[in-house]
Amino acid sequence: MTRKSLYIWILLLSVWAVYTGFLIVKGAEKHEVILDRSAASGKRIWQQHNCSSCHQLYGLGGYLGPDLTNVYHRGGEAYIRAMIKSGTAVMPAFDLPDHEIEDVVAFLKTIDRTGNADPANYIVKPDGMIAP
Amino acid sequence: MMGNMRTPAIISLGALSLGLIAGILASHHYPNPGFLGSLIRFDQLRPLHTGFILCWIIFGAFTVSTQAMRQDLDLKPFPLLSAARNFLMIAALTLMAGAYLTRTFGGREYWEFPVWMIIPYMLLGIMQLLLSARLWKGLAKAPVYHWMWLSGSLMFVLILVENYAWLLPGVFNDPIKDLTLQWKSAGALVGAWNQLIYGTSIWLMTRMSPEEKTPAPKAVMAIFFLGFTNLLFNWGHHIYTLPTAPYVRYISYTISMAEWVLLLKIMRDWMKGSGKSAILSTWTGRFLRAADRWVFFNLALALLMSIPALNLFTHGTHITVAHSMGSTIGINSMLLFAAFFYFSEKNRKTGIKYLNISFWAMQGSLAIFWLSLIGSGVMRGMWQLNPGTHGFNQMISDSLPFYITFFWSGSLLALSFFPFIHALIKKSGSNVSEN
Repeated sequence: MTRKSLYIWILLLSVWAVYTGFLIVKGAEKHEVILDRSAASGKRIWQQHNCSSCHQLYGLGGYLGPDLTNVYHRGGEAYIRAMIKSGTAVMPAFDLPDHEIEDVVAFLKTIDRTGNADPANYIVKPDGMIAP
Repeated sequence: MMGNMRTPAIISLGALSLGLIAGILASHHYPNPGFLGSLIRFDQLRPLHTGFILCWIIFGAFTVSTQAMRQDLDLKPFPLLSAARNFLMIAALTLMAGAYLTRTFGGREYWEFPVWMIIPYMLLGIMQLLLSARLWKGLAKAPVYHWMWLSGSLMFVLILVENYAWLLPGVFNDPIKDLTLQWKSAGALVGAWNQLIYGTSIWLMTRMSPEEKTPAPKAVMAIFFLGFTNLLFNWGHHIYTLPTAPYVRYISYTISMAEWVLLLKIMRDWMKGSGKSAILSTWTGRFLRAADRWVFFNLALALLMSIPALNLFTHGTHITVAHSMGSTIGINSMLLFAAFFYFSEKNRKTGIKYLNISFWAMQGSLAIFWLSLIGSGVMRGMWQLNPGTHGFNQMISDSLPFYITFFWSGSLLALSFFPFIHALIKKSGSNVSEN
């Protein structure tokens, strides 16, 4: 172990700090989609009711329920409202006021606009990378 | 047991115990959804399980690395700081459990509690960092485990702050940026506590086999930097399917593939043979050996999952869980037990029958548990790539045999830990020195 190792360690940390700062300030998404006030409120409700314990967005979350990234496109507003209000054999019913349900719908509508999370829609490139 | 390390060890093992119980109850929701009705729901049991287990891993990592550092640097204990640490650990556990039991959420996955409850974790991290800061002096010529302890302590604090970047409106209101940063910090936090645990394991091995020829420093540091680079930059494999710019995916893909070096090194070491039969007469040695085996299987799975074309199949399935739980149980928990037994004088030697049975029950049930998760993941992966064949509920129904296997093997696995927890916690009645 030498001073050279120390310089490499500091260099790696510095690059990490710059990369992290870049991602926080600039982001790395292909197309920027921003939540409006209602959708942002819906996102808070999503967190407050821990929807991620069972559901995923882009495959990230719990696995007891389905991925909801594109549920707005597949099922529409009425479907989302019905699921929240009545639940299923596995999902509990959520007694949310109408305006909160509207906010959750707005959130899922915005998430749907960010892209398609369906793996079947991806292509595999010759180098093993995937692309939508 | 363990001198002034006894209290944080008991707290860590207590967190593990509660996490195992919550895990058994949560896993039962798969073959039998809603079985506890409104008494306690899955959206409470899952965070209770992951929360308690995270506390086991984090508090355990802090406890064993602190003890190892104290012995390595010949430091005197600080009773006031030890008391503060114990208080913070209990506070963190109590607040978290209270939040989840009352369904008071507001955070993110694995940190579902309200934001202010991160304070005890952050203070613990800062205390750990302040202790590790003395490693900075002389670091250039220090053994690799000093580098790992310092890196782990530093990155835990920095990444825990990064974990809450979503509090910034510019992050919260940009869902893709938010998900990117969430899984960037989630992956890196794992790397941070891994540095503490693996560093302690290397320290253990040098203590237990001082006559073993240590690898050349350059080779050791190369492996360290591979792991450190992985910690800093290889989080992108969590989000291959997120619509991010291509460079995010390619950075992670490249670093992930470099990790094949590690797998090949492990295979080469196995073929050379370890010849450490004397060490296997201790529980420390047996748990180290078990972790070594599980590193191979989980690393192989992780490397395959890190290939984007294969990740398309595994992402969003229980194959991811097989990797995360396989690593948390098979690697980190085994290494923590190795360390706890090392610091516990009276239990260094094996030969206690019920512990031998528990050990093999643990390894066997973990193997079945791991395979059942992969099996259910394959079912879901096939369905994801062919969604038109049948609905989500049909896929869940078809996966039932794997969920039943997962529940029973997981329950046996959880129960097999308790004899070891009991062995570590019970007082010997003899004079046990701190060292």
